[in-house]
Amino acid sequence: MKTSDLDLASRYFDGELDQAQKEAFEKRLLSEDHLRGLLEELKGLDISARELEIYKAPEIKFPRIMGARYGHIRSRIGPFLAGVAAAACVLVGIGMGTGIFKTPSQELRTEAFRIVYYAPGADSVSIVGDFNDWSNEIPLMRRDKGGYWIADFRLKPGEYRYVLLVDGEERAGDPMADYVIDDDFGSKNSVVRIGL
Amino acid sequence: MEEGHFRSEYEQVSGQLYTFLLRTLGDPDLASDILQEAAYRAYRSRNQFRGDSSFKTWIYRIAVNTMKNHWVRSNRERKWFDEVLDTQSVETPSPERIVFGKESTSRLSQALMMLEEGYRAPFMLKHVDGLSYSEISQVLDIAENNARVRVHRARNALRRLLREDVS
Repeated sequence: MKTSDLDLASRYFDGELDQAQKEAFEKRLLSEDHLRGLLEELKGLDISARELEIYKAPEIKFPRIMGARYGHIRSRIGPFLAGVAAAACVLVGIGMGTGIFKTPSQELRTEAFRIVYYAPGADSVSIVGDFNDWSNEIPLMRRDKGGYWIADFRLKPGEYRYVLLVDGEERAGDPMADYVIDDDFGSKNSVVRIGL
Repeated sequence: MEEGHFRSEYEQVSGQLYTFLLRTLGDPDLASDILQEAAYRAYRSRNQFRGDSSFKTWIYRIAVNTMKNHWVRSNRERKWFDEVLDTQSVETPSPERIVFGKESTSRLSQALMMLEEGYRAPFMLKHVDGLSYSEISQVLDIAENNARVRVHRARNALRRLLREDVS
C-alpha cells in the first residue's frame, strides 16, 4: 500500500479533494481493489467509532458565586493605600446601612479583595470576571495622579478569573494576579485565589 | 447566554463530553473531576459565549484547557498538542496502556486506548463527536492541518491494530 494512496483515500473520505482529484480517484476505484478495500476500511472505522458507547455524565451542580460578609482586608499593594482601604470600609458601612450588603449572619463568609492596576495615562480601567458572571464591566477608581487604579470586592473563598480593560481594550494579564491562564477564547485570564 | 439556555445546551453534550474525557484520560474519577471543573468554568463564563463557534466546540475547548491546566498543576509533561508533530507515526502500544478493556468488549474501543492521547483525542473528536477539522483545531488549539494529520495517523494506526487483532 502506497502512503500516497492512504493520504488520497483519507482525503477522499473526508470530502477534501477538489473536483478533478475526486474524479481521478473515483476512476482509479473502478479498477484498483486495494483502493476500494482501503476506503471500506475507513468507512468501517467511522461506523464503528460512531457506535461506541456514550456514557452518562455525572450530575453537575452549578455554583452560585456572590455573597457578602466581612472578613479581613486583603491588600494587593501594601500599607500606602491603607487610607483607601479605610474609605472602602466606610463605603461598605454605608452599603450595610442601605441594605446593599447583607449582615454576617445572613450570608456565608466572604473576604475582601482589592484589585490594583497601574495604568498611567489611562482614561478608564475596568474589570470583568466570573465573580459577576462576566456580565458587566466594573470600573476601577483612579487612586491619584501616580497612575494607580483600584476597586474593592467581597468574595466567597474560591478561585476567580478576570480580565482588565484599559480604555476599553483587554489587557493580557494582571501582573498582580496569582497566576495567568489561557482562557477559552484564545486570550489570557488573570486568576486570583481568595481565602484558599 | 441565559442560565436555562446554558443548561439545555450542556445537557445535550454532557454525555459525549464525559465520554471524550473518559476515553482520553482512561480514568473515570479524573474524567469526572475534569468535567466538573470544565462545566463550572463554562457556566461562569457563559455570558462571554458569543456564538462565534458552536456551544459544543466551545465547551470541549474549555474541557481540553482544563485537562491541560490539570497536567500543568500536576507537573505531568505532555506534548500531545504541540504544533510540531513527532516524526514517528504512533508509538508501539504496550499492554499497560489498555485501561479501558475491562469496560468494553469493543475491539475498536480497546484499540483506541492503545493510541497515544495526542492521536486518540483528534480521532475521537472527528469520528465519535463528529467535529470538523476546523472545530478540532479550535478545541485542541492546534493548526487545522495538524489536526488533519493526527486523525489520518490515528486511522492508519487503528487499521493496523485491528488487522493484527484479526490475524
